[in-house]
Amino acid sequence: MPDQHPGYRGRIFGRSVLDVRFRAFYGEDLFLGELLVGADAERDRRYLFRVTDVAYGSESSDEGWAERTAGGLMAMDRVGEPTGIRDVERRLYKVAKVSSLGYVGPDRGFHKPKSLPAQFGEVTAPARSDLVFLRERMGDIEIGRLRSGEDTIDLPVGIRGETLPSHVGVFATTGMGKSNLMKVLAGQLLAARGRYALLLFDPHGEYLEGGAGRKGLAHHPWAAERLRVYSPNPRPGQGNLLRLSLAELSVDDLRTAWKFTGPQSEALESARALLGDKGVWLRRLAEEEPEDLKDAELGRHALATIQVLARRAKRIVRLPLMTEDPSQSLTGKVLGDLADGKVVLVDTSGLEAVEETLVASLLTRSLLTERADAYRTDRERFGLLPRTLVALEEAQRVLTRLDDAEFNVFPRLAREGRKFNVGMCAVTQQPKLIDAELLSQFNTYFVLGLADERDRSILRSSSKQDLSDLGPEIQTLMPGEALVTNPEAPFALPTKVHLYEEWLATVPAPEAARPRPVGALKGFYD
Amino acid sequence: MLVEDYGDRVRTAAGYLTRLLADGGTRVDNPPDEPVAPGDDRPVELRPDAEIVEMGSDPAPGVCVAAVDGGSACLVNGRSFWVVAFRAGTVWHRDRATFREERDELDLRALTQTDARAEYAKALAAAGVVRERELADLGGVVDVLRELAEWRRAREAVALADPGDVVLVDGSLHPGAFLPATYVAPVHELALDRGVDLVGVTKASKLRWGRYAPLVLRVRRRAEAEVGHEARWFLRVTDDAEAAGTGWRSEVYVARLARQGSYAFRVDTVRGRRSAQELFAVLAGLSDDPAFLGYPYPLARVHQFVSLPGHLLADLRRDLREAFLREGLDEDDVDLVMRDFHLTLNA
Repeated sequence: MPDQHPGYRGRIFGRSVLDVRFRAFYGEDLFLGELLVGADAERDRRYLFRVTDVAYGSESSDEGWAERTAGGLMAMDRVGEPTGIRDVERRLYKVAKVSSLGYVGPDRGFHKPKSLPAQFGEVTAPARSDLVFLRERMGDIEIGRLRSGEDTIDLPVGIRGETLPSHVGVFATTGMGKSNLMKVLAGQLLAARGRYALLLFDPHGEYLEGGAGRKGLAHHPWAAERLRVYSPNPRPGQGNLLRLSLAELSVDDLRTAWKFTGPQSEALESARALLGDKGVWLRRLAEEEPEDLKDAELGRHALATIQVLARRAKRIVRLPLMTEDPSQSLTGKVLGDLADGKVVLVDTSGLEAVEETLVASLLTRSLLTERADAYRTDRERFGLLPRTLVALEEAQRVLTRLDDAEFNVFPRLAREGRKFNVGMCAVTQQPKLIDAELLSQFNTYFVLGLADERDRSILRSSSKQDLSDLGPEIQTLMPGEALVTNPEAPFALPTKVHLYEEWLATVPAPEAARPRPVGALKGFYD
Repeated sequence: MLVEDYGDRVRTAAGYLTRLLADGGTRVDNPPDEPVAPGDDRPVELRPDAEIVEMGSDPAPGVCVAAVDGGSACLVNGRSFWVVAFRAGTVWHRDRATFREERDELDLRALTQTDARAEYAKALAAAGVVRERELADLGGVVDVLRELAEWRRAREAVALADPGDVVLVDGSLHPGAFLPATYVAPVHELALDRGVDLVGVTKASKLRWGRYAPLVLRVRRRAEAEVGHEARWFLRVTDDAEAAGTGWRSEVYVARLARQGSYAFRVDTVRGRRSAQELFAVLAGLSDDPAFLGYPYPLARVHQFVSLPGHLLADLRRDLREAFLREGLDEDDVDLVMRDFHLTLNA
């Protein structure tokens, strides 16, 4: 490859406003997602490009040249005289297809791409000055560094905490760095000095300790001050025993956790209305014979239906974390911690999926109700409450239908939470299973590697930024690499997410109380 | 619409050509436009036992190889006058990479029959040689002008080359019908004096065996029968007797320069220091580019470098047309001069 100045990549040769092509030397190693700059000296503009595809070109006008030449190489391989092409850089080159993300004009402002960069303009790696506009738009919740292809640029990528109530989606196949991202996100909120709160459900028990060779939120320097852990089986000194009251469970929580048929839903409503309030209805369903209930209050419902309700009620009542004594419930404490700007980790790792959903539903509904009440009755107090994020794994289980918002708190949170400063962080491997309209409520996407085209497709169609050209890039994301989209960012930001353990080492600890200077109190009590 | 006995006619044609290829003669025609020996158009006797010699492949590290070629085209054929363009160039190659490319500026000439003869005489006079025959037709002058430019470049390349280097030219090392031997012979002598191997590779040879069998094809068939389909080989067509008393030192071969690829070529050599075996091994080493298997890569490179591609000719014709208009010719006249009615008919 000829010697050029560092960062030189090639020259533009077309083709349209949204589909720019440039030619690069054969030896240039171009990557999908790489960020580059096209100089338009004629108009003093610097266009920002993202590489969306790379192909080979050759000086030969014969369309079959490359195929024929490969055949020539194979023929020589066959006779044991492997050869190579001569004058490679003179005969071969690369053609990169790039999407124009916009340009920085003479006013130093960033503009959407509505014009063609100068033909044959020079393409280079972005200089620090090219990305100043981006630096100014990065939020206070930093999750990584800007990535250009496989390189990392020293520019923090983050989202603004004010946007948390506009909901966050974390989409990734197993092993692509979801948990690490969630720890970084939670870690940032821990260090936010109470400006934001997080209710984090941990079904795999991985966030607190981090697992083998990893670190968790417990290792965060702000953990003692800002992390609160609730678990049905807390380790000594590591958390509170999670207790929830039967009286707090609503019919809607049950309908969120299980699928009920129409008649079963009707029977559930009847039981709630006829068998006693404050959780008595659940206890009676669990403890009394279905036949007796059929003969008494639930006579208009089929026995088989009542039997289903009874089985499910038994499962709830027998949960160790459930108590009949409302005074033992820790829901109020959880809400208090959240109001205080804490990160609340609810360890649901010992629970089965429906039970986990039941717990998440109860706490989320309680939170949303509390914030909605504050909004309606005490705007001053509401204004003091921190913006709060509810993070739920396997979110596709509870976000399949927008219509479920009638009883399911999670679609309701997605639809109404913004008003009450409560956002949802949906973590899932299968965004295709989430209702498209619900997905469109999510303003921030963290897209990590996704293997399934249908998953990528639904994100492309629902993202707040145009991801249409980025299918191959999403497909080829490596663990820890992400695309971040939200309305604040001028385009989908290629990001290298901080490795939690490395990032943790950079987090400053809370300042200890300064020792009182000698003589500070002198004369104070005089 | 095909004739009724189309199939029979095709079979007859194929059978006729097959019989020609099977011609058992031993004489190689010495056509005037592609001679194997200077000033003599007698056929050359090719012994049936002329040896097919297999050779290796020598990457010849550090050896500089210059390759010379020319490109030409007729921009306007007004029948009674032509506008022609030509240029020649040289590329220098070493250790699998081209390190220098030189190309003449494009030369544009407008010629009538009379002009062409004068141009021909002038060119030869400038080269210091005597005209031995007159141009037969107007079209030949562009070939002569291009060949003169090529030989000038060949001479310069030989002069610049170090002993042991190789200079390749496109075509035979013998002068064509209108280039006097006295123009070419000094280049051969210079190569010998400097210990430079001068080699000409003819892509499409007209040499014939017996009556009309293409020599290269016949030799290749024989070689395949004797040494197999995956061999590199050469066969010397001329022997020292042809050159005896002429001072002429070039040798004519047919060679296959790669073990793969279906081509064999006529190869002329004026060997500086190397034996034929060594020289052909070097040529084989140059002929391993997978896009041009069996053809010396530097010649392929220079061919592409000096050729006049369609877009360049289109530009030249457009410039010429605009110049005609600026000279005051009206559009119809320019169309009459520049447009080939065959193209209209074929469109």
